Parts: sequence; C-alpha cells; structure tokens
Amino acid sequence: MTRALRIVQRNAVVYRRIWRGSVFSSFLQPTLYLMALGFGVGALIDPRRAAIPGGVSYLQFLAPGLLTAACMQVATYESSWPVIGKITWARNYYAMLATPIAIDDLVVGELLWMAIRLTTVGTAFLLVAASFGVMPIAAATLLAVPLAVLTGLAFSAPILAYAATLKTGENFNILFRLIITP
Amino acid sequence: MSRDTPLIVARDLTKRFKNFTAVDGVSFAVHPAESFGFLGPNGAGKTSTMRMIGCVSPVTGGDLRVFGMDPQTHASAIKARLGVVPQQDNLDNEISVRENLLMYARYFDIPREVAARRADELLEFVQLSERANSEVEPLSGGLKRRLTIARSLINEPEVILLDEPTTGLDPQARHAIWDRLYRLKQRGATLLLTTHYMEEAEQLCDRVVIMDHARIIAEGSPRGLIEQYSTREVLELRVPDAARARLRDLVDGIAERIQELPDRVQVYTADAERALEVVRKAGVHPESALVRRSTLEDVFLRLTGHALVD
Repeated sequence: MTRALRIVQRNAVVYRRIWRGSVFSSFLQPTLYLMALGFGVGALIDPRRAAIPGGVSYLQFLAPGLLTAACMQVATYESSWPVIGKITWARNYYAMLATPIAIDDLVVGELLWMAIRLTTVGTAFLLVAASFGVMPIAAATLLAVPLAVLTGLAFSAPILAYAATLKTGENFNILFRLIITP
Repeated sequence: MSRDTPLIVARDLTKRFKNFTAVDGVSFAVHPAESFGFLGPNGAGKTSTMRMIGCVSPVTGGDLRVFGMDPQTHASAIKARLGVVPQQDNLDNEISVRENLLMYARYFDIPREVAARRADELLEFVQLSERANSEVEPLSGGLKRRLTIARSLINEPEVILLDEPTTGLDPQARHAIWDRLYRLKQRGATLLLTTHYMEEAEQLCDRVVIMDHARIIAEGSPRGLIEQYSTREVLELRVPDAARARLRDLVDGIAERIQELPDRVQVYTADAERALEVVRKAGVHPESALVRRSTLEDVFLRLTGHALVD
C-alpha cells in the first residue's frame, strides 16, 4: 500500500509542474458547458411546461449531471493518451517497475491519484456552480462530488486497462467521439 | 551468502513468446565484484535475459536465481537490490534532474535526508551537479544517459544491470560513460551489461558470454576468447575480385585461415606484417592493407560466420 502511495506522490510532484495545461479541460470547459447549456439552452426551456422533477430550474436540474460528466471526461482523458505515453513514449512505468514497485502498486496508485484529481475537479465545479447560485453548498450537493468521483473511477479503471494494451492512441478517437462526448 | 556465492545463477533459462524463442536454454553465473557482459547482435536474446533478471519479464523455462531468490515470487525484494539502466531512457521529463533522483529514491523507501545526500553525491559522480536544477528534456543523449546511471545507483545496488548503455551515443559521450562505469567497477561494483560493441565488452568486462540466435555460443574473458578462437594479429586486405582466388592459394603458407567478407579479406595470422610481405612478393597488390590485433569481433565472426553489427 505504501508503494501505491509513492505513485500518488510522483504524480503530485509532476502535476505541480503541468497543472496549467489541465486547467482548461478540468475547470474551464465544464464551466463553459454550465453556462452554454444552462443559460443558452435553459433560456429556451419554459419551466412551467417542461416536466423538471423537484420544481427546480433547468440549470439546477442540469448542474449535478454536468459535474458528474466533467469528472467522467477528465477520468477518461487522463486514463487514455497519458497512459500510452507512460508506457510507449516516455516509458515512465518501466522506470517504476524496475524498483520494488509492482504492477498492482502501479494500478492502485494511479487510481488513487485519479480519485484525488477528480475530487479537485468536482469540488471546483461545485464552487463555480455555487457562485452562480445554481447549486447551494449543502449536504446533498456535497455528496454529488464523491458520487461523481466514483463515476469517473468506473470509467478510469477499464480505460486504463485498455490503454495498457495499445501501441498508439488511434482507437481512443472512437471512444471519445462516440461514447464520451455526446 | 559467502563472498564467492554467485549473485545470479541461470540454468537452461528460456524465454518464449507465442511462436518465437527469444532465449533458448542459457546457463551462466555472475559473481560478486565481477563485470559480466552479454555480447551479441540485436535480437540475440540479450535484452530478454536482462528483463528476466530484472523481474519484469516472466521466465518461461529453466531456473533463475537472483540473490538466491526466485524472480517469480520475490520480485520486489530482488528489485530493491538491483540498479537498472534500460536501453531506452525513461526519465521523468517534467521534473528537474535532481528531482528525478529524489523521486526514484522514494520508490525504494529511502529516507529523504539520505536520498538528498546520495542525489548530490551521484550528480557529482556523473558530473551533472551544475545541471541539478535544469529540466531533463533539453539534456543531450549523453547527459540523459549519465543521469539514468546516477538514478540506477540511488539504492546502492549490489548488481547494476546495463542494457546497451552506450547505444546511440556519439563517441565522446560513449567514452564519458565508459569512464564512469570503469570507476564503478574499480570501486568493486558488480556490473552486468549487454552490448553489441565489442570494444565496450573488451574495455569493461572481466568475462563475456557471446550470444547469437537466443543461445550462448562461447564464454570466457575477452583476452581468453580471442586467444582461443582467433590469432594474435589480423591482416585486412582489399583486393580486386580477380586476385581473391590467388590469395586463397597463398593462405596455407601465410595464415591459419582467411575470412572472406564482401568488401575485404581478413587473413588470420600470428605475424600480419610478414603475411603482407608474402602477399606482395607473390604478386598480389592489395588496394589497401591494414595490420591490426584480433578483437572479439573476429571471435564472433569465427563462431557465427556473420558480423556483430551489420
């Protein structure tokens, strides 16, 4: 278990150097979705005639789903090309496996790190949504974050396994175009 | 373990992929403080053997013991005592030179203060102290290699595995690496390296095994192998095709044997100068003639009929 934590540590150190690049995909993009779908599409929906359960606005109805989707998308992306990179291009996994780190440590460590990353993505989304007044910070909305993280991990684990079998990332285009983006 | 107990023992070690045998029943033993080399062309099975010793590739057949343990069941315990320099660099490009060493130390659970001290010492050793805080990516191939070697030493390994440590480097960078490895050897390190450069094997190895087509075809010290399989000197001649037959007729008188290559003829003899004289007196005028000592390349050529590097 402590060996899996070494992988988390490693990813945290590396992430400190590269976090700027992920701001768009994990933070700005969901915010833009929220605004585009919420204010754009939401403006076209008549709240009295649309059957939204719970009597909330379209934006409030949509926000938890977008939060979950944001975690799912980040999880999918980070479990695809970056994993091939660590096997085929930069070969970091070979470096790790030459040490006492074993493959199960590697898998557990990557998933742990993914959970941490997704928690930051979900929390950031929640804060943005709260600042728009879309999701109040309450027990129920706070629960949305761990649920979204779990959803993300459910995507991450099989995609991680699939990515480990690939030499190039071409097949990911199908995954992203057909399954993740809609 | 006593001082002479071998650190690595392989008996009939075999590695098979679906329908391809990469390593076909090789046996060898590596002793403490020894520099042991696998010499052979690409695809001879050297890297597959190294990967089995490094516990990253399961053994298909035969028996392998590293520090007396089975890689199948004690991988982490074995790997904790090995230093690995892979064929292709796999440094963390996103973090600094020094951070690469510190991070690697974490994988071995080396305490931070110890890791920091060793990192500085190792950067000094591979002459990278001035680049400690620079990024990895802009470093030249030779400097990256040196950093990889420093990284492999962070856990004070009992055996250092070097898979083609200087392949792809320019001669100057190659000599810098050889110099560092030679120092390690003098300090009593146990080195296990693969190479297809006979010069590398001759400079660094106390003992080599020559591999070809997944098998070990000869074993001994570089000097011993040369004495056993080659002559002291070699005369390399470039002669017109028409003169080759004439040269063949002369062989009995001047040499133990000749090796005909597409671009030249190599005459194996104890005294190459004298052989050249005989050739000239016989009326064969080579376009060029070179007198040199025998190398492991000649041993390999003799044993396999083909060259180490095509």
